[in-house]
Amino acid sequence: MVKVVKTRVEIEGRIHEETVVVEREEPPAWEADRRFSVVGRPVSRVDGAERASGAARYTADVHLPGMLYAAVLRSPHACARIKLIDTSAAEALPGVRAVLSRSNVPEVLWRGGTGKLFDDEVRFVGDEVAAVAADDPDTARDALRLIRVEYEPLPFIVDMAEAVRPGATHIHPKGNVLRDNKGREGELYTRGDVEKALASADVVVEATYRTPTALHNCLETHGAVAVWEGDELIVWESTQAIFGVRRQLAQVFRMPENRVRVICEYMGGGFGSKLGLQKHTCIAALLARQTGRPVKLMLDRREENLVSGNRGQTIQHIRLGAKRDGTLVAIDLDVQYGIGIHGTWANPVAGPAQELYRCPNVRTMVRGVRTNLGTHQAFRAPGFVEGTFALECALDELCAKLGMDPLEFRRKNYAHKDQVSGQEYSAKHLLECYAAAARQLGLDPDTPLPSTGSAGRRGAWRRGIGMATQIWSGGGGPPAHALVRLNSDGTVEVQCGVQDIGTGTRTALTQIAAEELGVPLESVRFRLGDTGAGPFAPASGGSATIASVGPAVRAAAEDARRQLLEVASFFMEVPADRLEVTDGFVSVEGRPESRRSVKDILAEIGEFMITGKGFRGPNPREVLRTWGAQFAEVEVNVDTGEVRVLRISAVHDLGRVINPKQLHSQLCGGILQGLGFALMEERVVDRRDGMVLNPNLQDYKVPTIADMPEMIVSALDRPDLLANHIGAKGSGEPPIIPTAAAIANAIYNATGVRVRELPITRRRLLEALAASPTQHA
Amino acid sequence: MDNFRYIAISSADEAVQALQQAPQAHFLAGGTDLVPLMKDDIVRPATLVDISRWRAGAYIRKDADGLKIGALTTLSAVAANPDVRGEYTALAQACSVAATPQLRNMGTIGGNLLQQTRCWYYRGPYHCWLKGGDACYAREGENEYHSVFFTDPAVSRCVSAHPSDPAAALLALDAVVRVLGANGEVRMPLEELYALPTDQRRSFVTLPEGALITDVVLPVYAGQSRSAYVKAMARASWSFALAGVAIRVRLDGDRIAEARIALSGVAPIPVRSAPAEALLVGRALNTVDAGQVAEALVAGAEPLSENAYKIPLLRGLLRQALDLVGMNTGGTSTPT
Repeated sequence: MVKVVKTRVEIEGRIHEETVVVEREEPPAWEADRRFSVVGRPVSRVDGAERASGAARYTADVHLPGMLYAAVLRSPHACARIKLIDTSAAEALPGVRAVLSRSNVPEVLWRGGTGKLFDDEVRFVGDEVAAVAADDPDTARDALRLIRVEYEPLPFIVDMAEAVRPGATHIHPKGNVLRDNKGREGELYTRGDVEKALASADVVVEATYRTPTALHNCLETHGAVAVWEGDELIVWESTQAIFGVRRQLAQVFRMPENRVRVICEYMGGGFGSKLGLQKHTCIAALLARQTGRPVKLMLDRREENLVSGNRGQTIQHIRLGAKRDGTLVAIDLDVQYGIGIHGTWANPVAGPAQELYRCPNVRTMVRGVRTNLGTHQAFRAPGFVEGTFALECALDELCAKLGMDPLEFRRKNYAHKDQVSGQEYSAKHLLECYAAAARQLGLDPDTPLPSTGSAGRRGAWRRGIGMATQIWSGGGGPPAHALVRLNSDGTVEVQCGVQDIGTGTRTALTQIAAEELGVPLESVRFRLGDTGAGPFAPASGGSATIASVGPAVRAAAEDARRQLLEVASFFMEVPADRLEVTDGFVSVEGRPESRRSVKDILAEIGEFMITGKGFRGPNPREVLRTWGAQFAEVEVNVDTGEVRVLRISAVHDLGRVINPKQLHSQLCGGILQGLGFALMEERVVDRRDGMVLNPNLQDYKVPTIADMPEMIVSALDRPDLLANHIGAKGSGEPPIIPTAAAIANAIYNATGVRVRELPITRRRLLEALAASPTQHA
Repeated sequence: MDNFRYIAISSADEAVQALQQAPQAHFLAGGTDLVPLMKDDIVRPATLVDISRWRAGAYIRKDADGLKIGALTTLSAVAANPDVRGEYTALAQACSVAATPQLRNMGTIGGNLLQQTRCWYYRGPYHCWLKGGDACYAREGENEYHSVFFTDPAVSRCVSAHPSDPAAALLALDAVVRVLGANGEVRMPLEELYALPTDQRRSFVTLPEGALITDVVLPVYAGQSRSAYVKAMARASWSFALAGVAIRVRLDGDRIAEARIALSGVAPIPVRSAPAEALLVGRALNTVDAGQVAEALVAGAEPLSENAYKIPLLRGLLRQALDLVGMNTGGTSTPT
């Protein structure tokens, strides 16, 4: 009966092979024209009241009897050997219950045994040196000041260009450039013959684009509360992956997985930096074990911005070649990507160059470069945000050289199948996205966009319009599981080991369960965020949650509904296949008067609990992608370098829309984060000492409400029935991908000045304007 | 943050007395600058003298001397006051673009004038010259947000940029602060309140030790005056000035009888530009050569490695400011 199937799952631009144990057939796909009662409705968040009122318990709100507060002493040096560490004064401070440092930290399997929680060498400013647990946070911080450390400073490198210079000091045992398991530097991809194609191209563009190190700045910082109950470790963690943290904790502490429980019921934002275990959690767990008391360790904003992750900077050298008629013939992309000190992979910056357009000759090289700075982590569409900026701006340059409309160019070089594998896409409606996004701005998609400098001017203000394209995975895949239980009073509980990272997962999955069961939304309680309760569900990343977990939840609900109808069939004396359930009532098909409430039927079987079980089935052979187009309208003051983004129009093709209200939030949030990346966000480091100068929300600029443009956003809502049986794909990452490129292209359209480095600050724009004074006059 | 003693007072006299008796004491008003400095261990007062309960310290009153603003008046109250908006427009504009609504509701005008620099070396873990150390780390470091004037180390060891928007406006508006100290009350024009720091006085203000700004006094202008403040920010809100330009002109008919231009965000202290002012005086509003004035404004600037952009920025802001007081230079501040 049971079949074992291998299937391809793509998360964050990386492909995994997953194994699925197929127990039974999956439900048939929700057909394209199906009429829903709950799915597709703009339902308000099922937990909105808890979140708004403060009743929702986030990790920082967890308060346990006898709980201690931890604080971490961090390295002030970019690289140094610790010669001496004296914690005696800290230990003597009243209220201090434990101090951990390299002298007394129990051995754990950190980074698979290749690292230590408290190393003898610190390798970036912010690296962990010691930790304290005390009765209150102030005492813990006071104790840190009493720890005496003598450092022997060592050579360091914080500049990526310096790190790759021949003869540069090795700042890591494995060298300054990431190598693959065959020892090769960088990741090379080729198809066709790029050099030949460039040599014979009619028009060539060559340019270097740069993107900054961006900081996630989740509103809720990383943090954990750890407590040991007997031999079981219980951890409340602000995480995008409760099961991932459980597995990693079990490895680090060499414990069975069933003795580790990870809980994250509510979360204040996760953009990729909370996809795995970090040191703070291990430190909290060790301090808890040492003291026999619960320990809370929340990072403050500065720590968050030093150690918890970032989007690494890129330097992208790109060459494009086209024929006179606008046929794209060659893409050559060379990328340096900053992985920080301990990164083990580089963002897939070359993804858009490899995939987005039909192009026979492509060569990409991505090198991960180490520096003495905090390690990068995934950050909302890692690689594709950076890669799309360079590719879509360089294409804009190519269009300018060709004298071709950017939209016409994109239609001409449209990829009808996956350029890397040659496989078909499960669905692609990008042409519709282009047309609809143009129309939303009042533009005719069949008329060329306004030429440079022609969109309008007043005084020193120049108006411009630019556009860019989005490609991303978002199809999800197995494994994911869910359980649906029907209570004797007719209410429903769904159990699933997924987490809601603030995106509205809980609400969307509740809609899917209620829809499939045929019961009102209010009668379904969705329990998530606890490895001790729900069955396995994947990390909330890669825009995969709805596409991965949604089908599992639906399958579990379908299983429960089938059992419910079989029970109803017994009591209503009608074959189960003639029964249907809607809005909490079972009735015979076509005979609404026959209806009996689900509650009545369940009351008949008393405490016998119907339990539906569901899993996520394998992916199809087709390549799963999400698509989108964004147009930006900006106004630029050529005297002061001020950029005002007036409007962003976005249309994305994300499969079926489960909840349009939440989708709207996701699209707007992505655009706003993309606007920050385009215009203001940038980590600043002093090259002389490796200190991050703006690890706070005053100096690291994220957009404010006053920076928000008018956002006209929509999704095509075309179910992708090949992708999975609910027809939905992800929406978390797609909206951030094209925003920066669209804005940068709009600034060029307004001024005739091309800024190739993000963020496009007043400084960079004024410098570019000064360098080409005639362009914008 | 260190532990500290806390004293709450209810009058200016009590405040000054309390400070005289407590070494290393600081006044606490809105706390929007002091508390973050304490949290970061940059300022470590042994005593805080809380003056926020001194009710009479918050008021705005017009009399024969001009307009008086109590030092404890919040920025939002100043920005909303009809007299300020009507006759001292630059101040209203400066107060309305400073910080954020939340900070403007807490921050006081007196505290704003005495706020510390935003230099990230000063605010960070650097023992810089301003904090008593030997070096200015910004001079050869990340100085995109720093001074373009007085950058010669012989003139100022510190190259931070003054962050206050109201200070530039008040300087252009010819304001005076009343200061209560151990030796009684003195009046200080803003130009005397601020001075480039020296080895002996590593501070941007000349306020006597233990003294308290009690009021800001704006003069009555003869004839018609117009003023404006424009500011360039790194985002649309909640950003200290990359550069700011405050301007006041007194008109005699359509001739400019008097002009004052003051700058924020480009020097360690708020500064006037006498050469630019001189080019305005005597001209009719519609015959001002904005380009010439702009060149005069930036003539003395010596940018650091990362902030030459502030020169064109100042030129652009000046055009916007000139337009706001009635000259038509095409430097409009609002988009189409």
